[in-house]
Amino acid sequence: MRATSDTSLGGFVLRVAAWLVPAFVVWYLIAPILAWPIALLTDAVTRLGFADIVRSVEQDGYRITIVSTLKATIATVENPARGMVSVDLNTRLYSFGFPMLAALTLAARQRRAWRTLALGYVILLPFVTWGIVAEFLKHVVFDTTASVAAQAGFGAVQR
Amino acid sequence: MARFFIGFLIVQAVLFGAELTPWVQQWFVIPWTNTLAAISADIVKLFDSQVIADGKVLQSARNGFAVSIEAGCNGVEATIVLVAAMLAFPATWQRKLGGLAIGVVAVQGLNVVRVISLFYLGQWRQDAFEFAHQYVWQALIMLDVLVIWLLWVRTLPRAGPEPVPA
Repeated sequence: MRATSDTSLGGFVLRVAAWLVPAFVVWYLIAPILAWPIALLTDAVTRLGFADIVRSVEQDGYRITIVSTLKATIATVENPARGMVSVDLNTRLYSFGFPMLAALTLAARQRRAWRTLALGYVILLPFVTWGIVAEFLKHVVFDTTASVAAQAGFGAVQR
Repeated sequence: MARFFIGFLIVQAVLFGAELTPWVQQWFVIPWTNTLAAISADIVKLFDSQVIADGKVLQSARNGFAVSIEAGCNGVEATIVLVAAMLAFPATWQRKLGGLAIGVVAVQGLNVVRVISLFYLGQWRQDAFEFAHQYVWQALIMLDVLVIWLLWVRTLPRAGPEPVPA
């Protein structure tokens, strides 16, 4: 009689698939909590790197709004520009790796899985923040009018 | 391990950078995406004749619903990650090329399933489509890449101990 081992790749993949469903459900529900450190990190990064174009970073549930200092329209005497460009960002779009990490970690059945999970979350945070800040910059440079991009220092050639 | 990880990052940076260039877009990414749409349409036509592929768009002639295969949904990024992982891992070129040939087909095979499933999910419920499109399938495709890479690594001969000179 041979002892069977559950360390096969097939078994691991099946466990990952089984864990993926509850991991996605939990991740979807607690996204506002998971987004809190992302908002803090985004705030810190924009203050350090883009203080001239970012006024504030606000969190509303799983969404983060980056309010810029850029004026929405070209100001004229007849039409004074009052509105500021703000970009609403979905943190879930950049953090779908969290449930995948959870499923992989729990399927691996290693000791201290929760500690690994917490560590993985912390390691992934800068990458999620990178995505959030990059989308904000892409929006400001490419998805707005030329006048808004010009306020951020990007001319027509750079666009 | 460190050498593999650095190589993995470098190859990814080069390939992702190349992917953004107009030349690669025109001669590789767009034809690739259009072919993916055509293959998806051909498969769907086996059981649903009311589907049309026009460029990168897959459309239902029945209700007008259409999906457009955009960057991120054409499997190019997932393929780049797989290529980088296989090229950076220590193995013979024969093993790497064999793994890439099978791996790319496997990634794109699942991507066709993604496109077709999203095409029907969208016709059923928009919120289900959004959830599957934005989150679930992104994770599944990357998981597919990981599994293919792990399977490939398992086929590689294990490095034995250094022979002791007589």
